[in-house]
Amino acid sequence: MAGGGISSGGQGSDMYEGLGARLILPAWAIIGFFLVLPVGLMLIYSFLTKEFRGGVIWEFSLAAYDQFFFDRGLFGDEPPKIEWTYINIFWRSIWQAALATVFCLFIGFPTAWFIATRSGSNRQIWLFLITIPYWVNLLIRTISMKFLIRDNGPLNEFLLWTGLVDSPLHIINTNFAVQLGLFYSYLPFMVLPIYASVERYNFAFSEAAADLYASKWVTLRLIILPIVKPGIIAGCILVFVPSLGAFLAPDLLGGAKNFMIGSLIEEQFKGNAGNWPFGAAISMILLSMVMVVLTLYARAQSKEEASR
Amino acid sequence: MTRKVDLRRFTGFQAITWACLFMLYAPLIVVMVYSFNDSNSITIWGGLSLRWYGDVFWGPEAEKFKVAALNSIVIAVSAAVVSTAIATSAATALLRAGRFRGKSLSFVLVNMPLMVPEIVTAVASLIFFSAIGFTAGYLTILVAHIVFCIPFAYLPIAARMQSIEDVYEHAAQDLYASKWQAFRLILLPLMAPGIISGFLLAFIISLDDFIITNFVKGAGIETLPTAIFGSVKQGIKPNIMAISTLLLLVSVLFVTLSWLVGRKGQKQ
Amino acid sequence: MTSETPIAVDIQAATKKYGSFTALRDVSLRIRDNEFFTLLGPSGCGKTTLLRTIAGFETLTQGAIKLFGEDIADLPPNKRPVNTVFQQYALFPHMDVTRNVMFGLQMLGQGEAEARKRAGEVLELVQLSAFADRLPSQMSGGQQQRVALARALAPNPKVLLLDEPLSALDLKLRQAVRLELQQIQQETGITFIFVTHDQEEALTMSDRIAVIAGGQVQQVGSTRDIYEEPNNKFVADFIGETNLLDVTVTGLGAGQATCILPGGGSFTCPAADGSHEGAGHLSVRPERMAIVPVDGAELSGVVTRRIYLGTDMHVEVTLDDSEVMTVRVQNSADTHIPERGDRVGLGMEAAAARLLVD
Repeated sequence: MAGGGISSGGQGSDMYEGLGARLILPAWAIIGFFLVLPVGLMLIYSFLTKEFRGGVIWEFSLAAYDQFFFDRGLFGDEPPKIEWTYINIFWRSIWQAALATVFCLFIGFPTAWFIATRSGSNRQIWLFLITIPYWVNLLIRTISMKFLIRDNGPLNEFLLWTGLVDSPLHIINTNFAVQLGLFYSYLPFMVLPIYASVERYNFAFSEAAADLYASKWVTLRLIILPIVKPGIIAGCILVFVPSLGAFLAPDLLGGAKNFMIGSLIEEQFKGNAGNWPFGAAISMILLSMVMVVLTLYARAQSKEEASR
Repeated sequence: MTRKVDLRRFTGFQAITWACLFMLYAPLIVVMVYSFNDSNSITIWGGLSLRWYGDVFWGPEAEKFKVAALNSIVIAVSAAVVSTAIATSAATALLRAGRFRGKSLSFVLVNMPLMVPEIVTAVASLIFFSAIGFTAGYLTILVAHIVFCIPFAYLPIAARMQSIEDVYEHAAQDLYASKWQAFRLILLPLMAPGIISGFLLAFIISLDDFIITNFVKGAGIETLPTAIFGSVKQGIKPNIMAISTLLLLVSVLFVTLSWLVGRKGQKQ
Repeated sequence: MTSETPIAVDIQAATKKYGSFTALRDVSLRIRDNEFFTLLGPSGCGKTTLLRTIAGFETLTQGAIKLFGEDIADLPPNKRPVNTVFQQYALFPHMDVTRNVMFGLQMLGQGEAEARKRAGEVLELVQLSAFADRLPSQMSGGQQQRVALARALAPNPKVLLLDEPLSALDLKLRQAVRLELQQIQQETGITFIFVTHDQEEALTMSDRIAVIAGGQVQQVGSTRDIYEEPNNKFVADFIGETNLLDVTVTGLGAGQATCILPGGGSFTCPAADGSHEGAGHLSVRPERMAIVPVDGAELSGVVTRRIYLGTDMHVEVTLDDSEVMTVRVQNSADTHIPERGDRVGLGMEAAAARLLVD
């Protein structure tokens, strides 16, 4: 059983044997009632009929999913064509999240490696410095980024001053700005799991590889990367999943043209123009995608564990 | 002449780390610097001044921010207290109570708020509260915050509990302590650093939350992040930078505290 | 110690299973009041499980445990008048030495002042009065070990359980603590049940030893019995060094066996209970063998190795059928020690050898 028995030395009875069900009950009650049940209800809502001023009419309908996938013309009487609007938004979201993940990996791996190879107290300080920004309010971080990269913001002023550019770079409200925002939001998520893997890496492997004539970079590719792979995959998932459903970065940095799933969902619940069943359906599709990623990950992980 | 080859060192990694640090801090530092700008414009530098901090406390938006800040703090403290208690109980169940029915499912459940994308949790909560006729307001925000703070409180608590061998509690029991006494007199004091870290992290997470709060709050109630977001929608104003700096310092203070507590715990 | 001594711990047909794994198999032991009793065996043999069962941390699958005649199977650890010195001591890291020692007394309902007084007495006993205010982390391993002992002794338990308490100490310290433990046991008169895998530790400290292997009791007896009269091959091999010789038993009677040695000679010696005719093992300790002239010797072979041990020397003799026997010879000027390659005879007294069961 995962995680069980660690404290009991593998055998014998645990301290609070028999009290488990009672102790876990509050967590079950709160999370079950206020998360599992609501997600279930959301699933039901995605199959209901929309009410025009927000909310739903309790009547079964596939309209929400139909609207997502098919275009039936302005009055709903034309033969269905594939509706690309929403699929494109999803596709763009996946693409943006993937790019942000790749950025994070390329910066995050060397950083994690560097930190993990520092000596004791230095390492703690580096780690601390990397984690602090994560705990700063995401909204504030995103606002800061917006402030920094806007057309007449400090970044452009600096670039103009140095003469590297002669007119301001237009970064804000582009795809790149969104990627930058996502990268900035979730970079610590990449560093921490990789750090944990590297910290446990046994440098005798590197010595053995060097002894057998491997160069450092070959050692990195053939020995180190495969061994710390679990940390890398965990980091990628921790960045990709929240990026996919991100709201603040695309909303504040991407502007109206660079819509992602998060903004699309939010729009369905704002004011009177909303469409609750449609919003619920999009949320369900997003949730299913995330669950697929997490399930694949869990599978791969248990396979990895089994093969050891 | 023989120079020892350091197998741990890769050319460029150190530079990337510094770059990484720079990228993480540059936006924050820029905002902090500009918060002291004595100018009505956010673009033009008009010299050092504390006027925007004055504006935060006494300016036209001061009342709005004060109320929002108070709401944020009350909610964050309550959510952190409740979620820390639930997380401590859950950690004891999952790490110290042997087998019971639904144990492996419980691991998934406790971490579920981390796995479900925040926006999905937000939508689900909104739908749920409206369906059962909960009036949006304080209580809806609080309940939603408790739910997603649980895994954040759970992580440091469970990590700490795992590092404490159960032999101490067994020794207490051997010395005639009941299970409850062993828990209260031995496990809980030893757990203290983990519980404090868990509480502080839950507090920050609650204080920081925007997306879920934005969905489940009613029309009349604002927390600091939603109030700031509302302001920023009309463009970044200098007072936002001052308030951001203040909030940033609060976060840094709390994380530093949590870190120091954790370190002290490790040394014991 | 006479048979009238009351039985402190009576373990009756104890069996403990973890799923398909059997940790204890039908173990019966009667541990007398006021004795220093050792559970000795290799790691994983079940001795710690047995100890934890007595303490109450494990419940038996079958069988009973009685403490001075009272069945304690259903009592949780905190209701048993039994205390444990844990392997890694398990001193509460957030309490100072006095608080640690007072803990059990307070749980038993003693007041602060009374408990503090008793803690002082016990700390005196283990010579740690000067360290009363220290935290466990500020003490050496040996001191921590004594705090653990003091803490377990403070409530004056009927039985004290010691789970390899010396294994974390270095060799020098271990030898000193052995004597100290024995002395404290004699002073307090508390029954000690001591778990160890170290046969030397067991032999030097105990009144009686139970050798355990594979979850079963192999032999119970005084230290002398265990060493001199092992029941079976495992006990003979585990306790001290021994030479094992495959023989064929031709006659049994009155605790004696007649057997045929590898060289063809006939030999009569004491036999363990349960011996039978046919193939058997003969055990002779290296110090009970002697190097003798080849003529007339029961066994003969060639010296293949000499190992210098300071006061003694081990001479390894390879017999004609390639079995290797070790003889311990005193290293003095007047003993003749054969060279490598010399052909020698081996002699053994009948009383020093013993026929074993498997």
